[in-house]
Amino acid sequence: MDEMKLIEHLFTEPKAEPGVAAAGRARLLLLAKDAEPAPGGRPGRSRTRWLLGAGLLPAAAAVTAAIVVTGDASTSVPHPADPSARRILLAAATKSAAAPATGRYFRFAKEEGQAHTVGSKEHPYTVLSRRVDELWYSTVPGVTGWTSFQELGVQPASPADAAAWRAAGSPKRVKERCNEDEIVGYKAGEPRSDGTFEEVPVRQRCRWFDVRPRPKTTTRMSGGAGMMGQPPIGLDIAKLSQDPATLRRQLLAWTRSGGLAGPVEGDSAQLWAAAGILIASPIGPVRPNVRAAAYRVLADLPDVRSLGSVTDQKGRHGQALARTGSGTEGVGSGTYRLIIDPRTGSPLETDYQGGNSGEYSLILHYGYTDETPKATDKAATLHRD
Amino acid sequence: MKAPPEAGGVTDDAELVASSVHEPERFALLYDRYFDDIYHYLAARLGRENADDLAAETFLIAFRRRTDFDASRGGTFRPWLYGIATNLVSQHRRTEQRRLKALGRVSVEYALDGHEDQVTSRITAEALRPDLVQAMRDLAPGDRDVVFLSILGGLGYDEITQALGIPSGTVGSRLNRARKRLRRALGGQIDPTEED
Repeated sequence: MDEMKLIEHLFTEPKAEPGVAAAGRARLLLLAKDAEPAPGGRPGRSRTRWLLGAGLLPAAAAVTAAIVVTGDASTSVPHPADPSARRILLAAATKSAAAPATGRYFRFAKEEGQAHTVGSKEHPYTVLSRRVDELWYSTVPGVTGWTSFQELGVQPASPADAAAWRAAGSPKRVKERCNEDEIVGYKAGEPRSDGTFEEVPVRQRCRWFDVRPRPKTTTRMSGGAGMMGQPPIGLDIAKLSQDPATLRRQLLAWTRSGGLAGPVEGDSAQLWAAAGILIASPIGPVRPNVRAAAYRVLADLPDVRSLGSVTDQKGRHGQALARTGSGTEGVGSGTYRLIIDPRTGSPLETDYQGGNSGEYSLILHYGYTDETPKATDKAATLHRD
Repeated sequence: MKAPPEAGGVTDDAELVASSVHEPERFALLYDRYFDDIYHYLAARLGRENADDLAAETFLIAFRRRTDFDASRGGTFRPWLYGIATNLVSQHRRTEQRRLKALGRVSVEYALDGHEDQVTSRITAEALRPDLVQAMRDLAPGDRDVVFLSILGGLGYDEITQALGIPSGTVGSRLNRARKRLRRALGGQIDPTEED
């Protein structure tokens, strides 16, 4: 049995009791009875809000935020429009628009990181496991793009962690801190006479992380609809406008037609998510003018604020912009940041902090190029150090 | 329940959604059509107790948002519904973790007791794979979404793309990455560079 079949067996539950389906149907009919025929075409819209609990992170937001935290919905305090945020975004728009818009490929590379505690009980420290995804979208008709993936290995999260790692003898492999006595399950041992099986406890195994990178694999993008390298449904990148007002309408039309795959409420939350995807996600060749317009859309949002100069996970300097998401909007409550390089307008990092965890996504390359990827190992070009 | 008799000539999902704007009760036909599917998916992810409530909730949300569903933009109803259900799962990550933990701990004996969800009683010793459940727990939530949508929703790449609103490239890479990890968990032989 392969792993997919096993999972189906493991997780499948019996069908719902007949009463359950009937009760749900009755709830629906009650709601339907209430629903006015829709003169404005948006019945029930105003009543949607109560359905949305805390911690709902639309799946698309995970592209930029890559983390889901269910926590208490902190009430978001409305921020007055922040003039410095607006200034930074408009400057980024101007710089972005000046970027070259031609090349054989549109290249997008990002690094994602996740923190783990490793080391001994006495001397724990934190490392980041990192991986890089790279996409090369062909701009030449008939030419297929490329996609690649590489595990970069782990590295200490901070200078203090680096010192702890060196003090531990600079090990090439580090072990995650976890309780290996904990029994996480049982597997069947010898059969008993009554047809059941002896139970063999399975204890938790703490993972090992290698500080050395794995080889990079580069393969052709698959061409078919819904395969590698295609944009999300409903978002036609080639048709996106460079006019901010039009782009705003296009993005809202997309998010309202289910583009974010979930009920994100409010123009501001929707536009932050959608414009963020255009700016900092590998969804296809977004033209410089369109990226500039996306920055201008963000500049007009009332609740985006500037956090000033920061350093991203890679040590690059940038300007951080932030928006607080709240449960009532249907997004995970917490702070969503977008870090921009003010010199070029390029996105450097997106991250999300909420509850007690977080992840980051670093944009390593973004833009048009005449370079050609090689199907062989090109680890050196991406490997930091 | 695939073809409710009262559906008459209208069998197309998109037509039903459209007609439900002015005749809201027609939406119940979509409920009849897909309730079992959505229940199957949610029960697998969050357990039956939660699915009892959330399967219906999925349709209530879909009903309220039915004017947002736009078939002319290439959307199809079933993936859209799974997208809503998946968002509900993401609201219940702790419940999901509890279930994954419980499934990992399930023993043959518990199964005979009916201790946890009834699923356990149907698990043969062969299929009882705490290592596999552990690997599912270790997946990033987004990767797990893709795995469940693929296996329990039976959704293809493009449908998952639509359900999650993520690039199809991401769907492919998430699924590949997840399957690799799950296979490794199953392999028994642990990759020495990855595990002890």
